[in-house]
Amino acid sequence: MASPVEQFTIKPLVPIHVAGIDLSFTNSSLMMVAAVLLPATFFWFATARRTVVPGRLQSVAEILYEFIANMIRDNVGKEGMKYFPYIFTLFVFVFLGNMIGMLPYSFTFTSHIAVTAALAVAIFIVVTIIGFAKHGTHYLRMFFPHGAPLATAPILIPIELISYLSRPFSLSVRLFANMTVGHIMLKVLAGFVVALGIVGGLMPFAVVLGITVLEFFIAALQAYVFTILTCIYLNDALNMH
Amino acid sequence: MTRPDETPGPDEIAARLAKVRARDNAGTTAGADGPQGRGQAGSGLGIGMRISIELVTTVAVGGALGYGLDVWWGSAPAAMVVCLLFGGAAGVSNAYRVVKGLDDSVGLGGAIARKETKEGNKSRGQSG
Amino acid sequence: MEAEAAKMIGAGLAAIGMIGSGIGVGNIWANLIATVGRNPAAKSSVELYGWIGFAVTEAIALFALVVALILLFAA
Repeated sequence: MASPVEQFTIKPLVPIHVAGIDLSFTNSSLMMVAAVLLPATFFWFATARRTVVPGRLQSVAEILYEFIANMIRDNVGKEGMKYFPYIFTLFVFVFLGNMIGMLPYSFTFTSHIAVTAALAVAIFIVVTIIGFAKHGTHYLRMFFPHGAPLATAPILIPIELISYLSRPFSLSVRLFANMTVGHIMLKVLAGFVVALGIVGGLMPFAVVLGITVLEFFIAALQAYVFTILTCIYLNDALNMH
Repeated sequence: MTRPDETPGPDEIAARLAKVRARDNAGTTAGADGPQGRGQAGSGLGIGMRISIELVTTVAVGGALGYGLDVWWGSAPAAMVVCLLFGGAAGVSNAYRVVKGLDDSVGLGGAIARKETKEGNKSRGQSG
Repeated sequence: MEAEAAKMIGAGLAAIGMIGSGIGVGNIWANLIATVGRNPAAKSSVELYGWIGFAVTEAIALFALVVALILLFAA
């Protein structure tokens, strides 16, 4: 039987080598392209005939829009709506990445730390740039709480700074660990079903069913958490308490 | 009121939305924000996983930062020791945030103060 | 014995110190849970001490980690 981590191997589909760098089009890239094209075509059709009373497709598009728009309004405020396209794209990309991974024989690109770290580091850099662009060097003031005694500064500032710097890592590791652990667990339990045969396999099969439902929930939840943390970080940069 | 064929401006839409939301939320406020805040969404397993991730990543970031500073300043191992300890402190403070359901914005003291004001408002709203 | 090998062995030995910290953290939370289970009203006053104890015990693990990392990277 294949090992439980075999599902995460990256297989090049179209080998491309440019100047010694491997730029092959892999199964991971294929899934990412799917996660971009699928919502793009969906929103193309959903907004093709805009009506006051929305049809089925338009309703789904509007619910998604409202969901993210409310998230930004609640966590960032009105000025955060400027960044709506980025956050919306992020949510749809991560959500579909997790969901496509739940299809049998497909590939979960969010189970690779390279992908999640790229997303999280991009968010971190963008948020930091926004913070400095909006507040200038005053942005550094954020690391020292108002009203705290000045003597505590040498301790508090490094702690908050490290806490700030660890954001992209905890953001990426959380998504990556959740997806990887879930898929390994599914694979191992599914292996029990095959190994134990028809009678003995019933019990693990029921467990696998339950875990699959849980995995769908976690896939949605992690996309939500990823997006809402982006909103909170953006709020820090824009509003600076 | 605008005629339907006239496009309403964004301000007007916002005002209308606020009106509708105020009406919708009137009956459902108690259910909307129960004790299960956003920070505590998910099971105990999820919280435990988050705590361990926070503890490990902050210490790792502190260690990496200190190692980088050491290479830069040639002060091995002083910066790494100090940064590792700060990383541990940051990890504990982040774990505290996760357990207490505080928000993840910068500044632990500010997060505690914001949660207290939020809960103070809520309890006042329920009693009043 | 080669110095490089001795470093690695030393780092491994230093990391053993984290066992004690692990036991300590487990002890703190176990006792905290037991206390809150017996007397739920004490939760708010006991919780703070729990966090302080956790932080201090965690710092001991960090000392072990510091020694191990110094041996690996700095020494």
